[in-house]
Amino acid sequence: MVIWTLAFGCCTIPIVGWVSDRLGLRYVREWYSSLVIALAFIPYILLIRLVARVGVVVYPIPSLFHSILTVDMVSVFFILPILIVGFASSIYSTSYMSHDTGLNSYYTLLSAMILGMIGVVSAGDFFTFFLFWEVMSISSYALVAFRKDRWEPVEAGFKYLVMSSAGSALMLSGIAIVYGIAGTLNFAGIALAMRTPVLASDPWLILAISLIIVGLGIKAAIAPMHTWLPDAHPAAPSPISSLLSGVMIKTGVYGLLRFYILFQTLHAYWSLILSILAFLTMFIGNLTAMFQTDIKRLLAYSSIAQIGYITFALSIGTIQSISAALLHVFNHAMMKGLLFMAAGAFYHATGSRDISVLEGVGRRMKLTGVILSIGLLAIAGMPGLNGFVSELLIVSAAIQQELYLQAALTIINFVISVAYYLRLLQRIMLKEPRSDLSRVEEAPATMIAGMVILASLCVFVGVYPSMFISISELAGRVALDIGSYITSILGG
Amino acid sequence: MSLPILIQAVLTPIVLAPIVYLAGRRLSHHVGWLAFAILIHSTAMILMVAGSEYLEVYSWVPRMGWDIGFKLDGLSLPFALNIAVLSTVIAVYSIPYMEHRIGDRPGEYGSYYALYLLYAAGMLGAVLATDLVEFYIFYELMLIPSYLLIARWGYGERERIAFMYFLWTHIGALALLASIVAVYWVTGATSIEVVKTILRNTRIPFQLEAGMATAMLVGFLVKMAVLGLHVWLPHAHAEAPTPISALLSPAMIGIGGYGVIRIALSFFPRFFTAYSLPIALWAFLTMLYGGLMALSQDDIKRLLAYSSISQMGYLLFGISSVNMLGVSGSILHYLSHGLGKGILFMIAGILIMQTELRSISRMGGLASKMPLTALSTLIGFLTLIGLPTTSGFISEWMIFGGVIRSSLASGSMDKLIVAILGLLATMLTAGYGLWTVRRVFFGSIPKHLEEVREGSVIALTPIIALAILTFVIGVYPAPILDRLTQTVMLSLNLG
Repeated sequence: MVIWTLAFGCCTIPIVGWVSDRLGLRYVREWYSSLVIALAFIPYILLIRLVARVGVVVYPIPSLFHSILTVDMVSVFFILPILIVGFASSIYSTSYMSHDTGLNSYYTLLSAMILGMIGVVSAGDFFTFFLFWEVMSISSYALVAFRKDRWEPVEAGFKYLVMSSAGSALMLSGIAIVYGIAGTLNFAGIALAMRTPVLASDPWLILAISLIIVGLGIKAAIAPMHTWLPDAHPAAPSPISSLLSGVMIKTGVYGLLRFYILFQTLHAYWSLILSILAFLTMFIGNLTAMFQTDIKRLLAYSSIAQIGYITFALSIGTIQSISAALLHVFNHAMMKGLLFMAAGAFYHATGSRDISVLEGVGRRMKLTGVILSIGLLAIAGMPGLNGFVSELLIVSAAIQQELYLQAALTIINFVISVAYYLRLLQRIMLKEPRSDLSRVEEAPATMIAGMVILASLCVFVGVYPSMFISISELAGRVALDIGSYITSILGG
Repeated sequence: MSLPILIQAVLTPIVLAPIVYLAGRRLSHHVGWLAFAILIHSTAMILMVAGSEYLEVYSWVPRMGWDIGFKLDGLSLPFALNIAVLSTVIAVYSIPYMEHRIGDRPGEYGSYYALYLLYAAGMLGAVLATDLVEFYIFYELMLIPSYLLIARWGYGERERIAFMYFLWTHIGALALLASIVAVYWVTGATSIEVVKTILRNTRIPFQLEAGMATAMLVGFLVKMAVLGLHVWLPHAHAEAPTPISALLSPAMIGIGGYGVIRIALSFFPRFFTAYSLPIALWAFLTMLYGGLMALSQDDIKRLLAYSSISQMGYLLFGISSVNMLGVSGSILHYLSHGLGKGILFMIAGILIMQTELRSISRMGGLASKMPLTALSTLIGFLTLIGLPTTSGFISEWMIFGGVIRSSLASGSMDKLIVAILGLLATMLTAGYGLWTVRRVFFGSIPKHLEEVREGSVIALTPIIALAILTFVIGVYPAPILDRLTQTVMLSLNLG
């Protein structure tokens, strides 16, 4: 099981780190951490094969609330980007973090965060969900504020901590109300209970769902709950930024997707709220990103906008739209992970995140520059790269439901976003380098390696999207098929 | 089994682009010859199958029904040929020009030619594509390299201009994409042929058809830069490095016209018939505007850019006739405009190389110093004007013939008036063309130009090759024209 591998890693990284420090061996801890994440791919592949065979895999966890982990196609689909970006950022960290102290806790927290995310997407009941949710959140607070000797990360981390735990608390109250109504925390059990009209029409349910949407929305940075993100993502160390922006905010999306389907009877309500919030998120994210001078802040706002696209696709609620949203989750994880790593490489080399200082740096750091360009063109939706495929599918799903206005608004957002991505590309790659960049050198090999993994996936999915489209469509189909989800967990 | 021929023509430049980039470090400006060889190969591949209709299809995303296909028929042949020939000869022309532009920064030649190859491949792919999604991909693939080429090696405020160019074209492309998606949901297919058949055989509400056609038309007309959607063109064409201007204007913008004919017109003939008059009027205004603006320019590249807008008006004018004569005329006009404007932009480049000037008012009397250049300029403009025995004559004759025939057939007096006004507007072309030749090449030589010499052989050879080609097509258009009219008749069902 993937989680056990990572849990083993969490427990052993500090020991390995401590021992290697004592023995004076460098980089043992770093490579060990990457190795653990890489090893997690083996149980993951076995898991895929199992899921492909039986549909839903159930792992009971002996505890108070009959906790279970249920892994179906949707969970499997979400675990993939978590592992890939996690692995890439662990490799990337090797040189990025090499001048920092407290690396034992850094790598422990890193794998704890990955563990938490995987747990969230494979939880089978609210208790387990919330448990892993907190594991993920707490380790990410600590990682955001990791460079605690400067004020910015501490402030951002604190803001994130306050907002996110408020969100968790709201979500917990929502969960409590749901428990009161349905009498169970098990997802399948709740879905079954929702088939009883009396329960499903309970007015408290609306409150519960609103609370859960707010809780999840804070994590997913859906406007107007997004304000922590532009502070926290830039302040974190870059590999962490790419994990946060690339995959962690997607756990919020996962929650929305899962619960959207659980509370079937309230679909109209969900759809309305989600689509309004989605457009708010897109416009706020894109319009604010245009005015950013800090490269990582720009990317952070762009993440908000991308969450808007995904939320919009979720709100449509057809198989096409859900699979488009899933594919975009994967694609955005690759692109944004890549972009944050490239921004981090520039920061590492120049010590600045200010775009006006970074002008022309792409000409000094050619390889990183090319990788950044791939990421920017991909996220701008240029055909031949992965972003295009999923953005096309999102618009396509909207037009299929005859949501012409919404499709047009989404396209307008694509245009706005192209404007700032392109300007960033232009300033980093084409401007004459400033004289004070003359001593800048290409990023170290491990950082390049981390980025190349993601960049090659961007290109691969763009050129050969067939496989990923099929998988996401399968996952979308599974996600909407609540009937067989209930049967396979609760039996007959 | 079909031999992979056309896919070679399109993919070889893409695959070899990184190699050209790397080779650029070693070979410096000589890497242009490598790009030339690659494009010769592509041209040869196209010529190899030019004899008859030829189709290759590869499965790409079977789940969504997306294919990658390449089709060379009478309709795509003039386009593919023009693009292949122009990009090949301009690769040679780029060698002296980019040496002049880049100078002794040997690292940059590789990136220039790599982007150049991608750009050429994007254009070729777009006109050979058989699938709407594939078409869109190539349509955008020509945008990105050209954007980078302008932003990197252009003149003036090149970064802002490139940015504007990108945004305008990209917004158009997104409108096109929206329309493609809508077409997909109406018909359930993305293959151009299949969609066409389905749309022909189903009655969809006219309002929906008009919506889809309008979005598509906007997408293509931005690329064609017709009046109102033309804002980016004079800037981009004037400030791009000249070999790229010589590809942008003669080869690329006409692909918008190709899209209108191959896709929009064949999908929505009812829309075009219904709105024939407004489209003709729009085209006429574009001709007029481009011609008048060209008359008032002093910068030679801007003059040529406005002339391109005006010429795209002719293309649209021919399309607005919605009959075989007019539409075939448009396509042939793409070819003759491509040859003529290709010559003229390259000449503008030679003038820049030899005199470091772009301002026409500061030139004069150059014919005695640069006789070959002067002669080619004249040929270029005469092609645009439509002198008999150049290819421009046949195409313009067909365009106006087509429009007049359609106005007679429909009995529409208004359309006939527009057609006659359009005919009169061709005098503008003669006006700015011949006047420019006079101002640049005749009269007395200003003092600062007394040392000017004829352009280099490598720069002049491509120009002369194109000049000969305009006469060849002008005198003996049958091989292209026969197949063109046949395809237009059969595949577009036009009489």
